[in-house]
Amino acid sequence: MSTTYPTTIGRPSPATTHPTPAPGRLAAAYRRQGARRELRRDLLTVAGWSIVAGSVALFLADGGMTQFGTIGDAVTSLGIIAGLVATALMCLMLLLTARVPVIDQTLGQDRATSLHATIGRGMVFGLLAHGVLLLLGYSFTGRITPIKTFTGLWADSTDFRWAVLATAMLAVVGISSMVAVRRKYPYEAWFAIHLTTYAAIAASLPHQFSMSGLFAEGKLERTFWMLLLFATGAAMLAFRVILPVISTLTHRLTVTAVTPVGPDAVSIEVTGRKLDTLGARGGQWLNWRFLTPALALQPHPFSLSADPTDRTMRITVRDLGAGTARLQHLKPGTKVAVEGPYGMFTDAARTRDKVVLVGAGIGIAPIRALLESTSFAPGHAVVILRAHTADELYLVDEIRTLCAQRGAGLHLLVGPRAWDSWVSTSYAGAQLTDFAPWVREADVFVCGPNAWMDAVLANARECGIPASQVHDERFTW
Amino acid sequence: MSTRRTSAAALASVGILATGWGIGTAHGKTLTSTTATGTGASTTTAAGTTSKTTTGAAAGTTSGTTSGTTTGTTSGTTSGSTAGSATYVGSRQSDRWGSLQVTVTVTSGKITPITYTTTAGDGKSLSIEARATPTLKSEVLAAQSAQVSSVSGATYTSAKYLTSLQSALDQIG
Repeated sequence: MSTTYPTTIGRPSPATTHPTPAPGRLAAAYRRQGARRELRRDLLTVAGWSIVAGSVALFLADGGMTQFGTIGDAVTSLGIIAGLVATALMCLMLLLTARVPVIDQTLGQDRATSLHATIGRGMVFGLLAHGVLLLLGYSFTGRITPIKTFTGLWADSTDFRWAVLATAMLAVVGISSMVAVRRKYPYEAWFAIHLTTYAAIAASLPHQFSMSGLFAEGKLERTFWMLLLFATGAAMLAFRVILPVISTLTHRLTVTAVTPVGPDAVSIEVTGRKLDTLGARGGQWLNWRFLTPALALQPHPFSLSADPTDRTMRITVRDLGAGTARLQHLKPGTKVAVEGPYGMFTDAARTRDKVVLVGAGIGIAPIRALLESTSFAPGHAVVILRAHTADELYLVDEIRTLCAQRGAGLHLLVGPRAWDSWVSTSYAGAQLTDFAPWVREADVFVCGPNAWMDAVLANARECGIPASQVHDERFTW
Repeated sequence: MSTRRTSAAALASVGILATGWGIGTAHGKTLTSTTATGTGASTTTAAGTTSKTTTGAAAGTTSGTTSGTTTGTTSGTTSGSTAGSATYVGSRQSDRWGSLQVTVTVTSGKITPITYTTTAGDGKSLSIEARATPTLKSEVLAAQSAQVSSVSGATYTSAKYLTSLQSALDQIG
């Protein structure tokens, strides 16, 4: 509680009081924090590539390079490698969505999820190549047609039939996960389709051990492969199921207040026990599940709109659809289950001593929490808020007070957007550098609707702000 | 991607692949030498018991196909030793597709029925075995020896089959 700048990674103090930090020390501490995050990113990248390389190395260690003598063998070997790589990628994908703390604190959950999707496309190709190449390879070797190979395998092996089923299920998941298609489904349908992934993975497991000689019983390769699969499954179970259940049981969260903060938004205050051990920081988000019959099955990701205390957390929610509309009428006393906190839209992402916070619409909520919880010297912070109408400047009174107390500049851009710029017409032509001349030496945090955020990020690039200093968080939901 | 990150990831991947390659190569060499010794010994025994001349070419083929791919356990068992007819169980020969074990019955010094058991789990291996073993069997019965050429397209099956068979024949004292 005593330091206001992050001297250690992990949990910079959620400083409720902000004595003016020595600017030199603050700059050095944030630079160190940035360097450590870069190092973590490097190590995670190395780890990811190592898992993929390791899967191919298992094949090589088993004498794989002697299996390229004939066309049939070569095609078969490539098919085996494709299957190994695809499975390794599948493990990486699962780890990226397992909410593993080190991954979340390095990439941020939104980046991890988009990497998950990118890898997913590669994995689907790998799986298809695995099936096609092996059929061809077996056909060359056995001198029969691929169709005959397929029907032969289908007739002979239960595990093969499971593997075919798994491929079909993963193809369905892959197609339904593509953004264009996803928008057509409600969340629950998308979630159900995604759950079939687990069924598909389970169905693909038997043939990996029974049909491949590589992972035959008693072989060291089999042990390695089982360890990889087991570790992935354990991470999923621990961080996505067990930890949230423990959090929910420990903190016993209950809605204590629902306050309107605009024509279409409410602040929801939640009270619970031992919230200091939950470790949430201003700017982070949690998956909220309000335990009423209508809402219990819908987890909603919402950012904290105030720095949490040991007893309370607050979110601010705008009416954006059927689910969030019901939240506007939430009753105090409602029990709450949470997963999280997640995200790097926090003080932990800072790399410089100066900071610019840019928010629009309900994206103002995490900006408000971040402003409260991050450290800066007076004059070294600027807050820029944007909305179509003054009503939509959510929490602006609180932000005005905080800015005055902490010595931060505040700019309110109200009205229609000027062309495709991120500013309102009243500020037409304004750049980030016009609001904060020192912005190139600052961290820039951006939160708001996707299209508007893209415009801010484009302007940040034009202003020459290094990408490592620009932090944005996106919600696909 | 920073340069540091890219090069570290590339270096790690290449290192891991090289390690795998190295293990695979070392493994292959060990197998080759073991098999070579085994083949040499069994050739001598075979020549002694079955009085068949072993041609260099045949021996070469066998050892060539076996090296680097097949491991054999040398636990042959003999059973059913009745007058004039005896059954010999060959060693179990394993490779990446499973293991295969040949049982041979010798009546009055002549190889008669040959059967085999397999642990191959996949349809491809099973169909290759089903295609190759009748050919191998008839060749062996004709030659009265394990020194026959392997069936093309079934190199590994042939190697396992003939090596196991040879180890069964080796038990004939």
